[in-house]
Amino acid sequence: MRLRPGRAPALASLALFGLLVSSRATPSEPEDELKSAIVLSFLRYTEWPATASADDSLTVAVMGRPSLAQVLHRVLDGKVVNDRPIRVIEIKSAAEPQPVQVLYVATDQGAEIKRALADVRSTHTLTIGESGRFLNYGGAVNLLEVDGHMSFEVDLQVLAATGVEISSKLLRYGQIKGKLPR
Amino acid sequence: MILLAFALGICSAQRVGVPTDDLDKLGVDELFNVQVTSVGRKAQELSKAPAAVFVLTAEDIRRSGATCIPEALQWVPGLTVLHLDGRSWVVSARGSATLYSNKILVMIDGRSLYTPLFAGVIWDAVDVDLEDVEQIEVVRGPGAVMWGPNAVNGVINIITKHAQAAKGGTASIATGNQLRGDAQVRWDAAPSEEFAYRVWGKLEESTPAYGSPGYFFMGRGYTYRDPSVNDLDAASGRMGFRFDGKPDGKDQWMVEGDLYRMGRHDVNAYPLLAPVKVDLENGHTGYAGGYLHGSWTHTSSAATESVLNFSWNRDNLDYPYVGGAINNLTVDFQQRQKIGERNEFYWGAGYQQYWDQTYSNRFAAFNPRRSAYRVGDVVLRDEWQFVPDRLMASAGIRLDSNSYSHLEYQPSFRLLYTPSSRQSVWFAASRAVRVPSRFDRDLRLDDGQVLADGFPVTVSGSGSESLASETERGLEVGYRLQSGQRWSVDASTFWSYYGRLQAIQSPLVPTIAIDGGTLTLSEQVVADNAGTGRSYGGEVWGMWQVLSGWRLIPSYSYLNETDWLPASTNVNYQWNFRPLTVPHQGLLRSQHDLSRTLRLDLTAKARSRDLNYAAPGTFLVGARLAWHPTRWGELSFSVDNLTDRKVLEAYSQMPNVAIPIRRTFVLKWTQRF
Repeated sequence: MRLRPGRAPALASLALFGLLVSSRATPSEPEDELKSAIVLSFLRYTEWPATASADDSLTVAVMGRPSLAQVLHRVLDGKVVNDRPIRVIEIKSAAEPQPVQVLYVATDQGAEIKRALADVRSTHTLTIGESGRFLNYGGAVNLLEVDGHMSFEVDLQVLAATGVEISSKLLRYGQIKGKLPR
Repeated sequence: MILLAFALGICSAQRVGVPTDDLDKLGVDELFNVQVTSVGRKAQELSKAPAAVFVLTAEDIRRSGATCIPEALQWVPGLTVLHLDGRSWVVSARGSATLYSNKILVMIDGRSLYTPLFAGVIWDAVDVDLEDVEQIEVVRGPGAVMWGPNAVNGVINIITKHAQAAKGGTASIATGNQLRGDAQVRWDAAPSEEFAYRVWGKLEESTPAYGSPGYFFMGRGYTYRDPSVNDLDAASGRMGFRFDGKPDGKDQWMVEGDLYRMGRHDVNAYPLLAPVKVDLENGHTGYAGGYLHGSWTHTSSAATESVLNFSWNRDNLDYPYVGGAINNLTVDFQQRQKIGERNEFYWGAGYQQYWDQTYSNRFAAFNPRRSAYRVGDVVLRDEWQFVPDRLMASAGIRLDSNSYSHLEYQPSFRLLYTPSSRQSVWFAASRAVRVPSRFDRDLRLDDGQVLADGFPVTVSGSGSESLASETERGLEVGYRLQSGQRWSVDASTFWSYYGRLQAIQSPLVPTIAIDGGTLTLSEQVVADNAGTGRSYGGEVWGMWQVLSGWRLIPSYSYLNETDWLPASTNVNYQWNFRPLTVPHQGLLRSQHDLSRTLRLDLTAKARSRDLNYAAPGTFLVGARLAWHPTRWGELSFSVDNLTDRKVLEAYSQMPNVAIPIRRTFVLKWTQRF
């Protein structure tokens, strides 16, 4: 706890409390912890088409709420899934010229979502969102709360177009929208 | 103080159960079974509030098996919720528990349900589709600066879901032994990004009486017992809508409303000659009405937000003894402005107009029959961060000028110390008032006759226009600790002093008159502000996520409530209707997800004996089992009072009846489409 010298006398009565505070935990929504853990299981149960890229890391790009990015960093950074290290990057727009495996769009602004989805169209990117209309805008997976539990809805048609495959082990927990093209 | 500091030190040093450590080790199956609401979420924002707050989430409400709001409120720590006759309820916090408890404010989406006619909430006329409720926030203790007058002992804030929250339809049907039938349908849609709507309808029929005795509290310590009450049947129909709009990033608006009609059978006992004779009469009560409520929020920048609220409601109440048409109109504006890094300033102004037209059937009347009540208010509040995210102080005052008691001031000062994101300590000092109602001022009652030394004395009661507001001065201290996703504890204590409590006075000797050759004795009882009171107590509740699919929520509350009247040699001071005082209350809820499709809820409720009426202490258990065969449907069976204990929980006010509770069950099917 840092105090400006000028303020210190006013807080003398609280010094006892202040001394006892050892570290300052970052405030975060418990819900974000859960969402991050779900993103991790998506990384575990998803296969991306093989690319010629030498870099074998799994990159999760997150745009929108900084609080979620913070939690994603904490949960995912340094973890390894299927021998591929996970990397979380924060981006302002998806147009940045870097292939990412997962794009998490943490906003409910329609215009921003549409722009982000347009930028990753025709790349092998799994798009995950958390807005009621995410699938309407052409997103692949939308996280939502059903009866006090986390769930997700997935558009198989959009998913097929990206070439990304999610294992049925995970899909059975979600609500399937759209039919698989024959 | 040292003990508290010591406890804080221990807790911050341990930092038990950092959530991420548990969560990413869970299997997929467990992950989707974790309760999102577990230990916090919405409550987390509230954990930063310097007040005794409890949040009942939509999931809590569904899992409680409640069929109406008061049934859901039974599970809020620190609230006293007592069953009267299966339609009316006593709902109160921190004492003053009576039918239409007059010291607790109830709001739906910021619209007050507190009626200036009776001073209190007519719970049997309050009905919302519980599926529409997003959460119920209950703040115990005075909340006048935030919410307005009459929030003396607490505020119950019912918040309904945005129309955007769900898409598609939901229909449910339920049946049981008391709730004979209940059908609800709603439809949510968002035709565009800017606009969403919901329409809903509800029909309900219930039969709470079951041949049990009925109890009538007739005043002066005298209770009349009707050996068998057989017909308290009630039926209601209601429909409503909610529109939500978001025309651009800065504005948001909402309009909602409903129309309803309700009818019920009643049995009433009117005093004839106490304690010998009452007149027992079957009657009918009808309610009809509706409301319209609009709100508009404008966020001009991250630092400034303005909210404008408008509401109007009209209700026709027709009791067997009195009736009337009441109207209530409110307009309210509030603005929040961040001034500098550390300072947030709120100001607001509002206007309320209430008017009615009443009539008398028997026993009770209002004089004058028509009346209007106006009140204007100004609120100022400042929140100052002494040390950002550590120490916050808030001071505010609300000034009301009303047509009954003129100027009222209600200040509040609060301190919040947050040594870490997991714990907080708060302190509050406030003053709040309960404004006299139309009932308190203008009521005329025919109390029948009382035998005094063998002579019948005719008693009539009346309100008084010289009544002043009841006041409360209170101190509160609270502490919260949240340990990641695993458990949390919340404790608060309070001390309140009440002044100018309402009582009644009567002359020491009856008035003697000779009327046409016969001697008559009469006594005029008038309302006054002679009472004083004090109460102290505390509440503690916790949440413990035992396993990923099993949660326990225990709570305990203690209340010590005393009131006294002045000694006098000129007049006789009495209490009109004393509150039910239950010193000890304990609750335990267990929410268990047996599998992905099965959910089991077990509840236990213990209560000590009431001190003023000697209503017995009880221990009640309940259970609910819900089965989700598909994502879209749910079948549930719930039983309340499993052991079928037939206890009288509370007494009603004359001339209304109270009956004992019994075992009730509800079978319900909910389908989404």
